[in-house]
Amino acid sequence: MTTVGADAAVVRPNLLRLRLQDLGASLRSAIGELLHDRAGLFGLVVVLALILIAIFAPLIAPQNPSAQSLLDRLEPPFKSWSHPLGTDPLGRDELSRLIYGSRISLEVGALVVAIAGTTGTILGLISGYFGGIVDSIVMRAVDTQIAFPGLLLALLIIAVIGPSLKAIVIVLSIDGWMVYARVTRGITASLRQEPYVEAAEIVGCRSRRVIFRHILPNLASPVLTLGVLEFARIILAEAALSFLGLGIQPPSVSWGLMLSDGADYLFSAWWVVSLPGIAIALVVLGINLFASWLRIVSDPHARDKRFAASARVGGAAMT
Amino acid sequence: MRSAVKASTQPASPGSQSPDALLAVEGLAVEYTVGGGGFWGGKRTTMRAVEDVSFSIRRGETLGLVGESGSGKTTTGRAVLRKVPLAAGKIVFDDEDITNIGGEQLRRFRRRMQLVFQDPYASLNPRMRVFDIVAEPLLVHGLVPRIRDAQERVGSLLELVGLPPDAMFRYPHAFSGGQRQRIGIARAISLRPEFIVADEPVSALDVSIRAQVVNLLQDLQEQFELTYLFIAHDLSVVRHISHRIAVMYAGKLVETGTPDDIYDDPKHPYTRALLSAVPVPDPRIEATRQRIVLRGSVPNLVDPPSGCRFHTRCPIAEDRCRAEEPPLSERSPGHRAACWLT
Amino acid sequence: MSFPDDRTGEPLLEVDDAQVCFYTRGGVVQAVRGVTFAVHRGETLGLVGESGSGKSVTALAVLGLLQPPGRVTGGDIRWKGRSLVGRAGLKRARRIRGKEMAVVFQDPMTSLNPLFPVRSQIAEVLRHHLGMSRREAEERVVELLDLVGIPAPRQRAGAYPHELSGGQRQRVLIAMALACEPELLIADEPTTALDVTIQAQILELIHEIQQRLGLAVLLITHDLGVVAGVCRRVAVMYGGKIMEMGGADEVFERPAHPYTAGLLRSTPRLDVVRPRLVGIDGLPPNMTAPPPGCPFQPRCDRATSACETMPALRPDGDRREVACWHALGREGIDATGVAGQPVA
Repeated sequence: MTTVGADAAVVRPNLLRLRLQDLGASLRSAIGELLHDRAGLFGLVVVLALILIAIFAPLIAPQNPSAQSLLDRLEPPFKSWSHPLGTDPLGRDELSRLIYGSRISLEVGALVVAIAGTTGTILGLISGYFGGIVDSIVMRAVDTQIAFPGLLLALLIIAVIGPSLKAIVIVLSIDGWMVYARVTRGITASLRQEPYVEAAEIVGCRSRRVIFRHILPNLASPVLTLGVLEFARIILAEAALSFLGLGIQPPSVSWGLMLSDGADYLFSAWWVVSLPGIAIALVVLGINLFASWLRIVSDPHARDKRFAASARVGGAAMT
Repeated sequence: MRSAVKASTQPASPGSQSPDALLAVEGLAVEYTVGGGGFWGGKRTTMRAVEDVSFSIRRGETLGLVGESGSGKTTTGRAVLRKVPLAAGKIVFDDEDITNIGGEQLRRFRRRMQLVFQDPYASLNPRMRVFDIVAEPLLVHGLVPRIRDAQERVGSLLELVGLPPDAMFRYPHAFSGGQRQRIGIARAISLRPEFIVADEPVSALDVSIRAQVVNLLQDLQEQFELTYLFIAHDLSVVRHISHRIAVMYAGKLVETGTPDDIYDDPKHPYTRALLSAVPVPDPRIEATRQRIVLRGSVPNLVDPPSGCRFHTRCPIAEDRCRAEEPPLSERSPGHRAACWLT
Repeated sequence: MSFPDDRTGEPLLEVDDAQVCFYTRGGVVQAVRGVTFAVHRGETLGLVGESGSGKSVTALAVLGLLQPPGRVTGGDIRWKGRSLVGRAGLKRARRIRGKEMAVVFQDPMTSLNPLFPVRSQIAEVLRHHLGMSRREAEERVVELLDLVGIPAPRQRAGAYPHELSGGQRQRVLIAMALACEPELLIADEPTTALDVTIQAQILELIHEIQQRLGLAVLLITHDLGVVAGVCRRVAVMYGGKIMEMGGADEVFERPAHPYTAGLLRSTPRLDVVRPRLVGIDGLPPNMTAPPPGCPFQPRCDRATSACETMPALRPDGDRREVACWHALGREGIDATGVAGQPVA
């Protein structure tokens, strides 16, 4: 007959092993694609660099980023080994400040994406799955909140609770959950119509199982891509808020703060503004390239198109 | 070779709670909202996709429900499974009124009634292995204490539908349309249901494969005394598997009877037009055939025609047809049609 | 090969050993593997096959509408003697498409632009290919809508696609196809998405128009009943190749290829009562790795080791070609199992 009725010890690991194989296969093919996509590779390198630098900041930074030294103020970059990238108006080492600034960017980005992403996704899931009055309420809340100007909201809230890292995270989360809700609601609502979801319901699955087993896996990739893109946007937003003095306060270091420090010295000491500016631009670019690659890799149609285009070039020698 | 499917000598008539009717449906009506609504919802336009449908099916038999798009046949199938809310009517399953049950009680009833889908490509979750798909019903109803038992059950279910047991380790995309449909059938019978709604189970399959799946359904019916509601738009397929046939048009039943009644002596003009529209794979017959070609198309059910819903396209419609809606009247035992003129 | 009746003169369309492949991540799909046929002026040819047979891909190749990852990898396709393959060929295909060679696709819902009224969509074809002025085009649009049987054509011309029923939309598409008085109409499963009663209407329309205008028609379908009603000649495809080709009357009455016989046998008929449906055992071939030789071999009950090599299409009787080492002879007459069955 078959192997099914045979020894359980042989048969059971089969399924587990298969699931692990699946994971391995998709990781391998993803890495393979990455190596071909220069832009994506660049993006991944940037993202990884950001994470590593932020984590190991105390080990990498040559100086204490808050250490002031009026003797060394406004030293240009590439002049000395103790200050490879120069110093700011208060004599603090630019390189160290850049390195420590990455921590804030990463922390704020990760926290906001986690909080806003989770809230927005859950609300969108419920809204899309149950429809009806719940859907109406949630979507009207989304519409209303989007209409409210984000900067004004930031000013209001910070006026009340005072500027700090926590304040920024709160403000950006309140202003950031709507896009997740909209995206997941749309996907959930359309998935709900799929025959296999209907099949799960008819077979007798409870709502919770249908949501987690059938709908959520299909949400993972679009939400992930969205999260990565939002991460870049949050970094920019944080920089803007700190620049305006609404966010990170000294002695903490943030790229936004660094920008505001250098605003008065734009023509006399160009590096004070440019260095944090380049850092922000580079990181945001890298994240966007990475997100773009991520989207293509998780969408089978886009992958096939890409493959066909490259095959065509290679097969041009044929008739 | 199996003998031809025989109709019961005492046809179960609509509405009568005959003792061996597994499913009896009375006055079924389903309403859909189409558009309208303000900022917070509110008043919307509705249409009745199914209106006053009654029939019953005996245990072990197949009722073929035939109609074109807009006939309401698919909606009827879903309504019987309590998948869409009823605007009116009653559903009695095995002498129990299931019209209004909900929650856990409904979930438990789901064990006894299942659905085979039309689209073999979309009805299996592409991210789940066949094992997971077929075992899910068992898991959800607590029928398997351990994974190992599930594997045995799934293996034997796959064999029942003509697939090798090791198919369970693969994904749906590795299989052809006909094979996927078999997987869907395996899933449907995993709970050993008594009643199955087969919603156009072979429409999306190649002609040479259809026979395999229809014959499988017939064999399973014999083996497990299953009762089927077989929904189709293809008249030729339905004949082989049905003990009784019901024809629907624009949400209403227009004719019911045994296959011989319907195919050999159709009473309703729509049934006649439907039969004459089916192309026959024989050029000589096609060349000399007298077709009843209907003008126009199915009416919009938001504002259905007055009187008989078919009068707008009927080749023999008269004034009475426009004014009064004909009831289903008995022409011969078990053969009913809703027409004033035939 | 010469068939006296409708096959006079030079063929309009010649497909000469055409091969089409799709380069996907899952492998190279050989959709069409050496297909040869011709369509003459005024002739109706039905190209029959199930899913995966390559019939629709053949149509797309003829029209020059193959998109990557698909491409014509061998053979030639000629319109009035000039090639439609290759860069110059595709340019030529673009010029004649809609003008000399027209097409009607399967799904009328998605073939029409929902943003524009029907009138402007048909007029677009007239103005692009024939350079008509707006007024001239609008007049012609009304004529065409009348030709395809749309009631009150002048009023309906201004309707948007969503205001029309499925059958009416398909009529509009046929009107669009006929706008420039093409010589060949390619219809790819034109009625598959329609109800049976609407299908009857549309097939009758196609038949009528074909008779009236002397159009050549290439009808692609999986439904043998549809072919029987419209086409005088039929070609049966399986696994990317043509298995049998000949006059419809002859092929239906005495199928020579075992696949054709099997197909006829599996097509349920209202006029024949069978106790049990009959199909063809086995599965359609995997086109990324098609079996060597005859693609029908794994499912054929007449297969022998000779079938490892694919037979060429060879004449069988007067109006027929078959690609089979073991073609059915007279026994083909009852191979469908139709004769001798109680007629209902």
